[in-house]
Amino acid sequence: MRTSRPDQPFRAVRHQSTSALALDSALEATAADEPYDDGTDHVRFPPLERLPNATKLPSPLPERALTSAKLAALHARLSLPQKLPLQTLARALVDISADENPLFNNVNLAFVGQTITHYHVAEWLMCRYPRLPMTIMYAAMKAYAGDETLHSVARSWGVESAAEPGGEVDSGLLQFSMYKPVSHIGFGYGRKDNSRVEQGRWRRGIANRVLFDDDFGEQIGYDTRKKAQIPTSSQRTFSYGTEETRAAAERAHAAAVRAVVGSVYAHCGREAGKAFIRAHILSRTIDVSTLFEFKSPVVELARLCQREDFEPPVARLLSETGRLSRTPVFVVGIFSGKDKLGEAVAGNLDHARYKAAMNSLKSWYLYSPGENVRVPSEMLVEGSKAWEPTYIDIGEIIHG
Amino acid sequence: MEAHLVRRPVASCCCRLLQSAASAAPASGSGMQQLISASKRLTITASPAAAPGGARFKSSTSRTKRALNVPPEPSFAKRQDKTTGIIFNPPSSSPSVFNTPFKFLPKSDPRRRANLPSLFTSSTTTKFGPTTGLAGPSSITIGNPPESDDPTLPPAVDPAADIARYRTEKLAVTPEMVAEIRRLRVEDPWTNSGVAMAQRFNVSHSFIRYATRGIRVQKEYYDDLKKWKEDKQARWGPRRRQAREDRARRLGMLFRGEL
Repeated sequence: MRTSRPDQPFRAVRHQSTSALALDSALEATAADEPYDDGTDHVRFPPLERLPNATKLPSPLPERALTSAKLAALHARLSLPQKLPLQTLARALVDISADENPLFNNVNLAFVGQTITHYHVAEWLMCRYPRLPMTIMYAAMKAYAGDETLHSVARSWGVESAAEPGGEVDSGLLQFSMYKPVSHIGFGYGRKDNSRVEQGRWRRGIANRVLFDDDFGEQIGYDTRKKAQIPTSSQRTFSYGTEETRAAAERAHAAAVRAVVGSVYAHCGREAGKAFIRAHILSRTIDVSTLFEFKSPVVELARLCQREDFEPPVARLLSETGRLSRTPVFVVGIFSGKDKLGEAVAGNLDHARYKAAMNSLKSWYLYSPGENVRVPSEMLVEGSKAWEPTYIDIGEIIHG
Repeated sequence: MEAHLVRRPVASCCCRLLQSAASAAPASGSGMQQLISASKRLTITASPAAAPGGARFKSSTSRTKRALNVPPEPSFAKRQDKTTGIIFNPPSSSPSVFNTPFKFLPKSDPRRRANLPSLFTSSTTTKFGPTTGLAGPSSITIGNPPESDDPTLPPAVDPAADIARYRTEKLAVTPEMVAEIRRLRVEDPWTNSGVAMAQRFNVSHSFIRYATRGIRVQKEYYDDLKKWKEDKQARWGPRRRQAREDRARRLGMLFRGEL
C-alpha cells in the first residue's frame, strides 16, 4: 500500500466508465515513455508486478468497494442496514485532502451528517440540561460531536487509515493526506478577518458567537489550541507526528464519521439516522460538571438568589477538624433560609466557601428534568404522544 | 552549652523527650501518649544492659506488628458525650451536584409535588430582604448571618464581619450621596480611596466600586498606583513571591474545579 506518489496535480474533472479507459491508456503511455534506471540488476531482482492503472487516480473506483473485505467488515461491524450500499460507505472514507473532486469525496455527506448530528446533540442537551449557560453548551456540544471525539469514535469503529491516499488503496481504508492538506473546512459563518478579533478590535461576545462562527462557537479557520490562524497549505512544513498531522488526522476521521451519519440518514431515513447518533455519539459519557469555570461564584450565587426571590445565601460551617493543625478540613454549606443549596470540603475557610458556592451554582445550572427526557424530534414519529412543553429557563445569571 | 544542646541530632533529643514524657505521665492514656509509646517501642533504645550493641531493632514481623498496633484516635470511637463538638467521623461523602436541591426545582417539576414536606419547610417564597435599589451591592456577600439567626442551623462562617456590619445598618443611599462619592473620587483619589470612602459613607467597599465605575481620575494617579505596586513587589523576596504566585494559582485551580 505504501507508495510514494509522483507530485502531479489532481485533474479537475475525473471521468469514470468508458472515458476513464482512454485516460488510463494515456497515463500508461506517459509512464512507458520515461524509463527510469536506478542501477538495479533486473535479472536478479525482477521488476515488481505492474501497478494497476488505478494508481493514477486520487481515490479508488466506486466498484472496487464491492470487493473490499475491510469495507464489508466495517459495514457489518457497525450493523448498518442493507439499504446503505458499500459504495456510499467507501465514499464516506475519502477525505477532501485525498480527492478534491466533490463527486468522489465525502464533503457532501459530512455536511449532512454534521447538521443532523449537531441538531440531535443540541436538542438533547437543551432538554436534558435546560439551564446550561451558552459557553458550557458550546463546550458540551464539542465534547460530544467535536473533532477529537469523533476521531476516537472512528478509531473505536476500527477505521484504519492508508499511509497515503491513492486509487490503488483498499476502499475500506480511510484516505486522507497529511502532506497535501486542503484549507480547513468548517461549516458555519466565517468572519471576514480573524486577525481583528485577535487584536481585540472586534468584540466576540456570546451573542456574536451565536451569529457568526461554527456550532461550537469557534472561529472558522482559526486554531483555538494554538490561538493562531490556521496556515494555508503553502505555508506548512510537514513532518510526521506533529500537531498539524494530528489535527489533520482528527479532521479526516471526524469527517468520515459525519459522512457515515449522513449516508445513514440519506439512505435509511430520519429515524435510522437518529438511532445511529444515539447509539454512537449521544451514548458517550461526559461529566458536564467538569466544564464549568467561575470568576466570582459568591457574587453570582447571591445574584441568583436575588433574582429568584430566595433568602440571601449564608455560608455555614457544617463540620471541621484540625483547625490549628497543618492540614485542617472544613466542611462548609451554603444555606438559603433553612435550605441547603450546596456544600464543599476544603482546607481553608475561604476556599470551602467559594467551592460550596460553586457547587450550589452547578446544582442550579445542572438541573435536569430526568434522564430519559423527551425531545421535540420524537414528535416526528407517527402516533407519538401529545407534546408537553419542555422546561425552558429564563436565562443566565448576570452579575457585575 | 545550651546552644550546643539545642543543635543535637533529632533522634537522641527525641529519645530523651519521650522517655521523660512517659515517666512524667505514665497513665494519661491519650492518643498522643499511645503514639509516643508505640514509637518508643519501635525506636527507643532499651537499657544499655539489655542491648549492649546500641538500638534494638524490630527485625521480626511479630515485633513490628505489635509495635505498630496503635489503637484508633479517640474521636473515631463512638461518642459518649453528646454535649459539645462538631467532629463527625467518618465524614459523609460529598454530595453530587447533579442532585438538585429542592429550592432549585422549577415550579413545574413533578419532584416538587412529590416532596410535600419539603414544600412546607422550605422558604422559597420569602423575599430577598429589603431591596433599596442602589444599596443592593452591599448585600451580596455570603457570610452575613441574617439578623435573627436560626439556632437550629449550624454556625455561620463569618470571614466578612465588617461587611455584615454595613449591611445591618441598612443605610438608604441617595443619588446625592452617589454624586458626592464620584465627585470626591475625581477630586482627590489619593485621599478618597475605596476603603476610606466606605468608612466615611458607611457603605461597603464593593458599593464604592460600583458607584465610581466609569469615572476618569487624573492620569498621574494611575501612574503613582502602578509605581507604588511595583515598588512594593520589588521588595518581595523569592519565597514571598513564590507563595503569592502559588496562592493565585491555587485560587484559579479552585475556580476551574481542579481542587
